[in-house]
Amino acid sequence: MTDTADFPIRKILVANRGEIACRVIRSVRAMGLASVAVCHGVEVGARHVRDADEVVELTGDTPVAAHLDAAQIIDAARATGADAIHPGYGFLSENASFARAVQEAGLTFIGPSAETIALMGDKISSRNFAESHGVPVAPSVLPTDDLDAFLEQAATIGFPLLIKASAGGGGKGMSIVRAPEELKEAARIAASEAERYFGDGRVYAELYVENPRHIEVQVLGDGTGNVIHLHERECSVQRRFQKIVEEAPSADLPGDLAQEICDAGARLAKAANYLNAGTVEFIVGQDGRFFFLEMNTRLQVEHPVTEMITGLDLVQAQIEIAAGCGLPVAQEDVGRHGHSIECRICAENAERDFMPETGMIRFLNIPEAPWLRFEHALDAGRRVTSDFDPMLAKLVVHGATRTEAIDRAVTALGDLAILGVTTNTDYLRRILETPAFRAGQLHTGFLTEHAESLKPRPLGQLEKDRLLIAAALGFREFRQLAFDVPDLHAAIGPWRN
Amino acid sequence: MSFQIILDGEAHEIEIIHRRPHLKLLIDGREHVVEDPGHPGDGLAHAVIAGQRLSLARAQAEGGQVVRCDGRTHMVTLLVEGEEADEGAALSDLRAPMPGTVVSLHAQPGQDVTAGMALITIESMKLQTMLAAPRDGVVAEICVAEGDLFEKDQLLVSLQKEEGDAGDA
Repeated sequence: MTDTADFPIRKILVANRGEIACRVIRSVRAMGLASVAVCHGVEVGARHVRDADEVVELTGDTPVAAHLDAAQIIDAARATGADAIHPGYGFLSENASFARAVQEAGLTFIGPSAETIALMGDKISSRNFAESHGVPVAPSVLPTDDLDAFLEQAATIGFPLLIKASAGGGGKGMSIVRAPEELKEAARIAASEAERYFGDGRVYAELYVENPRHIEVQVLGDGTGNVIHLHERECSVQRRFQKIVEEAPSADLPGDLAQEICDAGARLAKAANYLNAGTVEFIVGQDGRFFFLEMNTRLQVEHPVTEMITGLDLVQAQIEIAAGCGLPVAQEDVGRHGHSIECRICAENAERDFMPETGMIRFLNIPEAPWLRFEHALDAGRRVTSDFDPMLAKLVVHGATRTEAIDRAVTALGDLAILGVTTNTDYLRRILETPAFRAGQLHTGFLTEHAESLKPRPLGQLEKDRLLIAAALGFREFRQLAFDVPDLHAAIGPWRN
Repeated sequence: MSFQIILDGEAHEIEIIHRRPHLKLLIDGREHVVEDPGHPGDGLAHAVIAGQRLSLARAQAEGGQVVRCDGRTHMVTLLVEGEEADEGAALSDLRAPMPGTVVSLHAQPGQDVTAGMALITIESMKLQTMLAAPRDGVVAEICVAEGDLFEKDQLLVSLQKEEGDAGDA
């Protein structure tokens, strides 16, 4: 591991929470470095807090506001003597002014420069940058506050058209418009959501590629133009424009196309003198044409699938790059072994339009296997609230082949039990069991196309009767009448669980 | 001795026929033997029921019990004698599935609505969702206003009770 005596980073504050904070702290610890967690009052005692060497409690009107409070987090780093900040994903991870403030405070930001974050964080500047470096982009309308001008230009591109919040991400303020008469209303809604979530009402539109695949390239850069890619990931299975099943490598992209996309991703990162870990996202049409989507200037949620096939620890690589140690491996030495799949376990109801769910976790059973990683920060007895994102955990498997990875994921999802809050675990399992998924026939509309076959299979009569009996046997009132001798019952009292 | 069990929203009758040598039960009139009832309590359990060994996980939760068996999770409620499922009320009330805020209202008291018709748009966790009428009927009351915050399970909109039997909706 790291020779800590010479290593310029000794203590890292992890400006995040939940599974990703635990994940980062694990690598920090493995490198022999010290870790500092941050939390809001509602998270005291949470797993990421317990995993860290030190903790600083943040205040804020809401728990999310606390995690977005850059000044407080930098103060926490100073107060604990941390010399670097790892932002994880979400929260402040792609906030250029935070990255700048961290540097100005004399601390190391484990991520790219503020300039790169700003360049890539804006849909228009990143798109123009990509286009000027020979990375293909889809025809589009530039964002404007002038709705009428926007509508006029958008109509000239043709339909279907994808409308997005200019400042946005994560599917907020995004919609697909298929007919000219729907355009005005869709643009109005997008502008209103854009204003609400990002404080920037500008909207943007581009040609919508029908049934595209989402393919992205993991890159690492040293900030001086040396860039490697760690192959592609496929994240085509999405609901509400958000990924829920990801894999590496892609399901069945022709080898030369995958290579072409990886090269384009690396070319973009190299042109930007990219520093640290980043992901270049593309959409790939059924005809094999691909277009730049955006660059995420941080560690991705789905980074473990890349780790599983390359054997690299991306968080360690991020820390070493931030410490000035350069890239962990040369391009020709980047491994690629087998296949990995990640399933995002979310507190949501797949049968009710993926509505977020809350509840107390009453029982937790986490499967274990050498080919399995379960990334989480869950505890039985803790409540899943609406304070944070509904993603609870990531179940990541590795197999020699894609088929083996699917089979293993199906087994692990079946064994996983998170009881007390509704999750999408069973839905994820049904996705993986769908013949089209197994055949690698993926596109971003996959879940809509297969909605019927993704519904739960009705239980057979005998199956249902057995389940009813098993359920009845779990109720104290029922067991008392079925088994208890009344005298004895009176003597020992009611069942205790 | 008979119980009513609600499995994923569907009611079933369960009756104890005899206890020894093995527990014998009637489920909606079908007879089954419990060879091994397994352990009670929350957590992982095994049971042998109607000739098959089942592996399951269970936990007591708000409003009943969660049972996970064969990779599927089910919500189960046991109704002891005297209790009855208030299906009429459930179908007349539109309750908040999540805490959130009211974005917009699409109906007024006294308005005729049909099942599936949008009544209210809410926002939870930065996502806007439309909540629809659970059945055909007339809006009795809108209990929230645009911009209001609400908690999970809070009553948002109620429909007028049906004449006669509410269960036929």
